[in-house]
Formats: sequence, C-alpha cells, structure tokens
Amino acid sequence: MKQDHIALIDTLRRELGANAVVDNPDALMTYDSDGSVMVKTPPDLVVLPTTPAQIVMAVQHAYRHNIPIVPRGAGTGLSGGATPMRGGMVIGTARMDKVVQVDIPNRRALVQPGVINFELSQHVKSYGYKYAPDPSSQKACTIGGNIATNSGGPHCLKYGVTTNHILALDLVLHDGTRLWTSDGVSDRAGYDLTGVVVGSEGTLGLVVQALVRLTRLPEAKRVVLALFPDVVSASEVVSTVVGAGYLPTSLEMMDRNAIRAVNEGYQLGLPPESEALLLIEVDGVEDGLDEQLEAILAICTQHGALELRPARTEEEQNRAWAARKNAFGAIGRLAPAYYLVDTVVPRTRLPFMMEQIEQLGRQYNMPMANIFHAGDGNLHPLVLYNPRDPDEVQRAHAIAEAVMRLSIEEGGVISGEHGIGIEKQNYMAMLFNAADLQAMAVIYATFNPRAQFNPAKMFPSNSDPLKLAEQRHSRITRSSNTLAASELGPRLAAVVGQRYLHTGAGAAPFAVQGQTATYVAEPADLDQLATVLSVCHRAGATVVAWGGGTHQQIGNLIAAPDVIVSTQRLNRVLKYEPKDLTISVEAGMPIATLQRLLAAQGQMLPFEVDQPERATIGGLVALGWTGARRGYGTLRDLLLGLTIIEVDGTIIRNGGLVVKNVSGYDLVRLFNGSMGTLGIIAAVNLKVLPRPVHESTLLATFATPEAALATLAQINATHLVPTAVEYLDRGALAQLGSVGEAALAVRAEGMPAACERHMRDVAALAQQHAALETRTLTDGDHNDHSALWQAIASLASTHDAIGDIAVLRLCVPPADLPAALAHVAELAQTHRCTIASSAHAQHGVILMRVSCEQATLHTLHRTLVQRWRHCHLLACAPERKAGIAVWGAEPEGAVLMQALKRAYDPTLRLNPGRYVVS
Amino acid sequence: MATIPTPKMASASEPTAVEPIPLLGFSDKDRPTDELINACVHCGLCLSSCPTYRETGLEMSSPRGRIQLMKSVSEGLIGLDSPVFQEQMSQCLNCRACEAVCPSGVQYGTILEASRAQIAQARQLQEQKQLPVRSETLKGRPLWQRSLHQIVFNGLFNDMRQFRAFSGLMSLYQRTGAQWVARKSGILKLIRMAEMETMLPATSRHFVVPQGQVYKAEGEATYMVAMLTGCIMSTAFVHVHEATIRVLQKNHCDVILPPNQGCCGALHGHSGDLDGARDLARRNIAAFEGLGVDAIIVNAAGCGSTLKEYHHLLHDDPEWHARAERFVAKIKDVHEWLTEIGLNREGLGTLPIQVTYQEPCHLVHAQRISTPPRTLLKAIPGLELREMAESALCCGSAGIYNITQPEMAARLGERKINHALQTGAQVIVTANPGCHVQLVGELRRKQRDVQVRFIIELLDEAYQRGAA
Repeated sequence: MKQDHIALIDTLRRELGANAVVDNPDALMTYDSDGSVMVKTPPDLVVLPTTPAQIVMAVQHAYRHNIPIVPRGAGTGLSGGATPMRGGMVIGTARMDKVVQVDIPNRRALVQPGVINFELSQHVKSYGYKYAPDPSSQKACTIGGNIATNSGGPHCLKYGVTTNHILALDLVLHDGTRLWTSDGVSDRAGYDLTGVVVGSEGTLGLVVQALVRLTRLPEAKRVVLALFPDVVSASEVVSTVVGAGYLPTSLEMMDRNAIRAVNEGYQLGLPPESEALLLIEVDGVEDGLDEQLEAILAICTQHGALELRPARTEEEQNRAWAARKNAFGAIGRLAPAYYLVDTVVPRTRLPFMMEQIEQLGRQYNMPMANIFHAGDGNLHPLVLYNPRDPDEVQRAHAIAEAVMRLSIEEGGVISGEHGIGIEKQNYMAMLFNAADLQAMAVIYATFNPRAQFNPAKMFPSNSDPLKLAEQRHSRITRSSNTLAASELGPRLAAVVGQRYLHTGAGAAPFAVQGQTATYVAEPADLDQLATVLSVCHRAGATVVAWGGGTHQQIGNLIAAPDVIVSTQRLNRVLKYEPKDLTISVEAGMPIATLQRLLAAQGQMLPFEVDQPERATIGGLVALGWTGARRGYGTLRDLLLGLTIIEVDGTIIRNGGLVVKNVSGYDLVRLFNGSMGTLGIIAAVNLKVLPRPVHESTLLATFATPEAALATLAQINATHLVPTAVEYLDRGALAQLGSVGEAALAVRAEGMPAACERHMRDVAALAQQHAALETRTLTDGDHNDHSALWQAIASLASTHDAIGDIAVLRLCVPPADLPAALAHVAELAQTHRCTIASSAHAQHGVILMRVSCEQATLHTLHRTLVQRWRHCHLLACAPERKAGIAVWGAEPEGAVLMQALKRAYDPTLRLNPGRYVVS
Repeated sequence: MATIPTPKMASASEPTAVEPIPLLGFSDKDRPTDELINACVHCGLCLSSCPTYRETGLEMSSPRGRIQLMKSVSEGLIGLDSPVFQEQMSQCLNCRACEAVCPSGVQYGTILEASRAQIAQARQLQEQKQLPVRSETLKGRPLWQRSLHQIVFNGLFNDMRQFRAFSGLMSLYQRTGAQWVARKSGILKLIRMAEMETMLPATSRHFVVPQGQVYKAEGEATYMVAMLTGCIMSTAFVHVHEATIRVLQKNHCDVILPPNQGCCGALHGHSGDLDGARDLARRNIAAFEGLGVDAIIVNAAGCGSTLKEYHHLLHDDPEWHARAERFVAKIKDVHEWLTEIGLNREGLGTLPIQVTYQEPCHLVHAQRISTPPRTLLKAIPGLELREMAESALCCGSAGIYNITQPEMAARLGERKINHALQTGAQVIVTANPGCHVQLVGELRRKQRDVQVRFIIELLDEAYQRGAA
C-alpha cells in the first residue's frame, strides 16, 4: 500500500508536473480542515490541477488506486465539507481560476471552479452584469465551493440562491468520465442533473467548469438602516414590507449584542437602546424607487422604529452595509472563536426563535449574538466560546443542537446555506426518516458507487449511503410481483372504493394519447395514494399519474398503462401561512383554485397557465412546466419541497417549507420535470409572492419580425427588468384576434412609476423601429392585461392538437432566437405549411402551432432537431407520433439519467417509455 | 508445510534503539504568542488577498496556512526546523494584505516577524553550536554570506556614514563603467550576485544628509514638520526627498531634517532581526524627540509603516515604550498628511499624462492608506488616473524579498507589470523605493518604455509647471 502510494505520487508528478502535487506531511497539515475546525484530519496528498484534463487524470488515478477524493475550493466552508475524513487525495481548484468566456448576449459565463465569487462579479461589472449569489465570504470563496453548498447570501431574498443561477455543469465522475449535465438551454428535456449536483457537497463528482447565469446590475438602489426597540417589531416590519408587495433584495437583521459589538468596533453611533437593526435594500429602475423607499420608511415608523437612516448615495449605502458586513468581524474580536449556527425557520417564527436562542444563551451561560437573513428566515446565531476550553466547546455544541431541534420543531430545516458536511450529518436523521435518506442515497450510489467522492459526509455517520441505497433497492425488488395480477382490481377497489375505481368506459375519459388504462383509481388522500402505488407495485402493474389531464398529450407514445392514478381528489391546502409567503398543497389542486386562494391574501403564483381550472400543481411540477412570465423565475425556482410516493408506495419527503434549504440532495429539482417516471408527486410546497402594486404591458406591433427582434435586442441592453417579454408572429397575433406581422408584449410589475417607465422606454424603442402601433394595457375596467397574458398562455395549448395540428417547442440560446425564428419561417415557406409562433423572447423558447401533413411534420421536426437539438414535438394526433423521437436530440448526461431512472424505478413501472430516457 | 516465522514486532514496553529527537520549538524571547496565533479562526477570508497564495494556490502559502504552521510549531506538532515552516516564513512577503481583510483582527505582521526572529535565533545558536539537535535547515550559512549579512545589517544600515560611503562607491561603480565590466565579465554570476545587482537602484551623486537644516515654507508657515530621510531614500532617491521638501513648502510647512536619525529598521524587522530593529528605533525616537513639530513626515511607505509600529516593537521595554507611543502619534505618511491638511491646489500646473497607481503594501495594507494617494493624483490638472487590476496586490519587491525569493518575486513582478501595462498608462506611480526598484527592473526586462515615479514627484512637477 505504501509502495502503491509512492508510485501514485510519482505518476501524478510526472503527468501533472512536480508543482501540482503536495505530499510533505508538514504541508499536508494545512489541508486538514476548512473554515470549520471541529474535526481535523490531513489528506495523504493534495493535487492542484490547472486544467479540466488534469482533473480527469487525477480522478482516474484515484479511481485506479481506490482512494478517496475530496474536492476543495478556498476552504472557507463552515460545515467541514472539505475536510478529508478518510484521508486520500484532496483536489484543490485554486489554480483553476479562469473566467473562460463571458457571453453577454446569452447572459451567461463559462467559468472554472476556482474563480472567486466576488471576482466573477467584478469581471462582468463593466458589461453591466453581476453574478447574483453573494455569500458573506464572497471575496474568498469560489464558484465551485458555492455550487457544492448551494450558497446564498444577503441578496438572495430577491435574486435566489446558487441553484437558481447555475445553467450547466461540466462534471468529472468517479471513474474519470467527463460529461455536461446540460447545455444550459432553457426548457430542454431530461432530468435536472444540474439541480441535483448543486448542493451535493462534493459527493457526486468534481465540477471542472460551470455555465453560470449573469444578472443585469440594477439601475439604482436604496438602502435603509432601521433601528427598533425590540426584535418583534423588527420582525413585523420584515413581514409587512414583503407582504406589501415590495420585493427587497435584502432584509438583514442584527440583535442588540451584534449592534453593540459593531458600535464599539466601528463607532457607528447606533442608539444604544436599540434591540434590533434592520437593513433593507430595494433595487430596480430609478423610477418609483424613492416612492418605495418612502413606503418602507413609513412601515418602519408605524412599527416604532427608533431611528431611520435612509441611504440614497452610493457612499451612504456603503456606510449602511458596513455595519452588516463588519458585524461578524466585530463579534469575532470579542472571543477567541465563535460557532456560527445556520438554520432556517418560517419567517413568522423568527421572534419566537430569537427568544428561545436568548434563553439558551442564559441556560448554558454563553454569550451569543444574532446576525441573520431575516427576509429568508435564515438564522445565524453566533455562540462565542474558547476552543481550548473543552467545557465551553461542549456548551457551544449543545446550544447548536438545541437551535437545530427548535428549528425543526418550528417547521424549519438544519441548514440554509452552509451545508451538512460533517457538522450536521448526525442531525440529518432528525429531519428525515429512513425512507427519505434512502431516496437520497440513490443519488449517492448512482454517481459515487465506490464512495470515493468526499466519503463520510452529509449522511449520518452511523449509516453507509451505499447500504441505504441497497436496502431501498431490495425493499422494492422484493415486494414486486408478490400479488397475482387478478388481485389488482379488487385490491384497488378496496383501497379507493368502487366509486373511485373506473374501468372500461369509465376509464375512457382518462385516455393517454388514445390509450385507455385497465383501471383508473382516484385515491382520496395521501395514504390512499401510497397504498394504490403499493398495490400496483406488488401486482406488477404499470402506472401513469394523472393531474388535470391537460398536458397528457405530451411525451412519447406509450402502451396502454395498467393503472392511471388520478390526484384530482388530493386538492387540499396542507398549510398556508400568508406571512411566511409559503404554501403547502396537495398535488391535485387546480391552479385556478390555488390562485384564488392566494389572491384572497393579496398573493399569487407568478405565472399563467393554459386551462387553469383543470391543470393541477402536481401535474405542472411533473412537467417541469415553464411559461412566459419569468421575471420571478420559473416554477422550478418557486419549489421548496415535495412529498413523493415512490414506485412501491413508500412516502418520502424532500426539501421543506422554508425559502432556503441545503439539507441533503435536492430531489425537488430532480423530480421537477421528471414526467412521473421516478415517482408520483403527492404534495407540493411553494414559495408564493405578494401581488405587485401595479402591472402593465406594452403591446407593440411591427411591420416585420426583424423590427420586433431589433427592438428586443435594445430592450435587453437597457436596465429595464420586464417580468415577461413575449414575441408574437402573425399567426400568434391572429390567434389573439390581432393583426400585424410581429409583435412584442412587454410586461412590467412593481411601483406604478417603474411600470410607467418601462412602458415609456419600450414604446420609445419600438418607435425607433417603426412600430405600427404601441398600446399600453393595464387591468383597468376591462382586465385587458390579465386577459392578454391568459390568452398568450393558451397559444400553444396542447389539448386540442388534433387533426393536422401539432404543437412544437424549440429551445435555443437566447441570442439565437432571431436565427431560429428565421429558420422556422423559412421552413414554413419551403414546406408550405402554416406555423404560428410565439416565443419567451428573453429565454429562447419558441412555441409553434403547426398545421401540416404527416410527412411535413416529420421533416420539420427532424430539420429543427438537426440544427437546434432541442425541438420537442409536444402534441399532435397520437398516431402521428409514430417514428418520431418527440424529445429531440439525446440530452447531455443521458447515461446518468438512465441510471437514475433505473435506480428510482428498478422495475420500470412508472410512465414507462414516456420521457426522453426510459 | 513449514510455518512461516512471524517477524518479531517491537513492543511498546521494549526500549527502542534510537533516542527520539526532540522537536525544536519556539523559545521565549520574541515568541509569536499563542494569544496572537489563536486569534485566527481559520475562516480563510484572507486567501484571495495573499499574493503568494494567488500565485501558487497552495494552502501553506496562504496567511491561514502559515498561521497554522506557526501554531503547529507552537503546539509541538512540527519543529522550528521543518523545511516547510522555514520556506513559508521566508516566502511570505509580509505585505500584510491579509491583515487588512481579516475579520478577526489577526496581527499577522507581528507573528510573522516573531517567527522569523525564532528562526534567526535558532540559526544563530546552531552557528554557535549551542543547539542540542543539528538540523540541515538551520545549518550555518557559508561564511561569506554570514559576513556579508554582518556587514550589511550591522554595519551599513546601522551607520549612515558607512551607508553613504558605500552608496558613493556604488554611484562610482555605476557611472565609471565598472558595472559594464562586471556584467560582461560574468563575475557577478560567479559570486551569485547577478540577481541582486540588477536590483540596485541608480544611485545619486549627492546625498541628503540630515543635519538639522530647515526649509522654510513658501508664504506663511502654518505647520512645522520634521522629515525622516532614511537610508536608501537619502542616497538613491535624493530627488524624491527634494521633491517632497518642495511640495511641503508649497503646502505651508516648515520642514526640518533632524540630525542623528537613520535607517528605520524595516529590513531588520522583516528578516527577524528584532534586536537590530529596536536599536535603530531607539536612535530615531531620540533624534525626533522634543522638536515640537506638528508631524513627522515619511515619504516611503515601508519606513512609514515601520515607524508607526515602534511602540509594538518596544512593547517590552518599559523605558522606551511610552517614548515610542509619543513618537508614533506624530508619524504621518506624506500623502496622508497632505490630504489631512488639505492640498494647496493653487499653482498646480497641468500634467497631461495617463498614470496608473501601484499601491505599496506598506501604505495600503499596513497603514490602510488607499484614498489619499489617489486624491492627490486626481488633484493634478490634466492627469488621468487609470486603475490597474489588483492594484493592491504586492509587486514582489518586499524589502530584500527579491533577493531571498527571486523566483516568486519575479512571478509577482511579472503579474504586476502586466496589469500596469494593460492600462496603457505612460507612468506607473508608487510611493515606496522597493516597489520602484522592482517595477523598473521588470520594465527593463520587458524593454518597455514606461516611467516609474513617486506620486510626490508628479505633484512637485505640477507645482513647478504652475510656477513656470
């Protein structure tokens, strides 16, 4: 073994260069931990590659020698993620710090994993862009490390966390295989491998390049520093500001101990009687921002603010932020060390948690302070202690554990942005049951079958994830086919009742692309749904899930399923606390019902969907549905947690009902868009949004598509932040009852002045391109505005694609939109067919309603796939799908997708053959 | 089948043949204290600010890694003679960029210099054969190196008369053609001084000798200031001193050059010769005491930061500590001083040039002075300041660093000069002799026709143009 080790080091030195390997024991000691120092154990060697190819080489050697691989960025993590628990090879990315490509037209950048977060933002600043996630360690931490822990930061309240900003990952797997998880094109088909890898804490592979989303720098911002006599009133302000429809970028809170520390350390002159400090930042276009600031100041005053320090100039804002940014340092100086606990609770539970935390400090006689992301409910209590006093260390850990227990009891999770690592691995079992952990272990076993990547992390220390996956596999395979097929009907009837089990003609309305199932079961609740799945599994029946049936046209043609499971009776609200801006509902709840429920509280889900009275939330999640209105992200970005019924009827839960969460693998992202092929979605937890103060849309029609697209390009170059920009061609306009060659519908939401500014500027740009007409729509007396967007959502409706009608979706990088539209127009002319196109213009997604004969449909689809790869034949008369690979070209990472499908559904019973991999 | 005999294993109870070699730890004098070392919470926020970490990507070449090495010696996990420890203590530039970003306020410069002092002490003991263990890494250096060190540190820098005499010889060497002969003949390479020789600044023919002379303010005198003349600045950078005096005169300052002052001791301190540094500190404190000046002006960043820390250096000397504190309170970097009193903008002529600013570490990090130099530059009519990337990252000069760590110095010099050239500026400005020498050397290597000037020189030039 020793000899082997020396040989390995020699080989690595030869292949990667003498400087690329560290093996001196004294030097290796400096790699024994990361930003956390709870456990220290040095690696056997450190490799510092400079290229992806060198990483592949290093991983291949580690694979051959079967030694652990521990990825390391800057080592600023706080949960022990980069600590080499079992020694082995640390692969450091410090020398891979190149921004490979900045692609402004597509608003993305290709970066190596060692690029420092802050420096990426600096790099793209001159283009008017930033990389949005900004963890407090941003000046040192790397993008690779951010990906591993799904990092957040003070601005993620508005802009989202890392997973919302990673488009695709270039990943090296345990055996040295290198693959992309995606090509970064919006709305492509296939499982969300990118979403799975983000937050996986280096246990699934090594990211060698990342394609990241770039965000437009705001035109302006305003900051308020508000001081309050107590934490409760400050918390009230948090809820009120958010609830009133202002979408701050940051809502950061500090308690009195933190305030005092900062005051002493930096002489900020904050009133000593203040118990809570709130930093509120809003940004956007200049117009309306001062009104927004005034409104926020008024809310603060109503809640008894002691002092308000509005900051309008950049210098004032920097001063305000200094209080927050220097806080950790100021507190750090009060004691030799601090234990920074990271948990999340629903926002409304903050005052209670603060009380409890203070009590814990008293109980254990330890000084504490709180600085946290209040807007997200992300707590960060700091326990000050002396690491050389074993008793203090023990008390600090006891407090941390108590905070975690309390957070879980209050409906929260154990990590918002630091990850599990080794710090919290033994708390995972508090949050998840055995089945939940087993379902996560499937991912581990699929990517990391020899437990080489970052072993002994994330899962409880007494459980081996490979064993967990194995246990699950044998649970499923053992129970399969244990029931005679003839028993299926009677057993299903026994579960749901005869009334809710349909066969023959009764099952006909549930036909999937012309295929009628033997049975249609309508379980009444979660338990019935689970039992139905269990019965199907034991009887060896294939199962297709059915929400509202509005999108069943989508996907490959399949054989008639044995059972269709409808979720229509699972339509209850499980939990809705408007002040938390979260809701948990059963999967079968129709979108319209959900929207009405939210509207009653002045809230919304920011999208419009075709047939909202029928389409269900569970169905949309299964589809990975996206729409035109993406200013707040897509449904993927709003999903917080899922309850899933596995193929054998086991109920698992993943995610939570809080807006930030890095607690284990993100099955939520994986199951979103998995088309019911991995499990059945039973309940959905969502982030909801306050209804904007004002909304309006500018509809500009043009004489040519080129004029519309030139206007679009100009809009993209401004600071405007429309929530939707839809391109409409002549056919689409005709469907909307309008005339013209091309049009843009540009939607703005927010303060009235901000909306007006958008309307004014877009109209002016449209005029420059000789717009034929510009019309501003608002929801005045006639609801023109809502009606327009509802109509746009129905343009590419899939349920009526019959006869010679087909609906196709073409996904391209946003900068290729004009070329793709031109290509479509050219094909329409060549093949003499009519195509009505609309496009989510800032995202490169084109929806086409094609009227043509069969041969033409084939040619059209094939040609578009050849040129653009992602052309999906969403819907047409079922018989016309024969011989067409409806999902277009094989997606990147198909091998892993296959493996995941086989691991989650080993008996291949769930919606078999329907999706892009089967 | 024959049984294979099991090899006899040494059991714990049996005495082992070899005596365990005790690890060589820190000794008490000038020890990096556990309190200072443990102030580091291992957060890693310093990493991106560290030039050697940025160049190597090695954890042990980062401030956090180096502190961990110190801690390991302190805790007895590794010895003072660990080659990794020694290499890292030497490779550090002591630029203190890490201190400026440290949230926990670690006094990195202090513990680094103490660690270096520990190595120097051990080396001395080893040379005197007083160490119980003989270690390769602490083995005495060749006699000629020791002698050279003795001559330079204890001789030249300690006595300004010797220093000036040496500088005079240097000037002669550079001007008479001897330099040309020496370079051509390859003799420098032979005595391993080629690298060192290229770093030598062009020496002036005359020197600034502080003899208590007073330069009267132009117009009404509002302030009286004393000026540190230092060693290298007073011989190789006479023109900078002259410019500084003229600019101060323009800014209503009477300028006095007190006698008996000398080298600030920066090089001694940085290399771990803390006793040598203390001797120089005491001499300077005495030289500037009782003058009743408003400020003591320093125009070299490295000297300024050293002077500002005399009270730390003399912390354990009860007699001198208080005197040091009074002295330190008066020290002002010239840029800091001019912005504090408000630069006299009258009479500034136009300098239509593009400049880029290389921030000396001992100004931006050690003294946290970053805005004043820029404020002064921007005050010059016509001058365009073009910021370079990583302006606050060390240029690799760092005192005698380019002699002790030529490879890293060259890498950092290259990185710096590339950033500077990218701005397209005609002039690189700085405020420290070490940076000046390093930049000039790099430009010469690259054969680029770009000037390197002190900020104060440009101000002086602007005043002169204004007067003309």
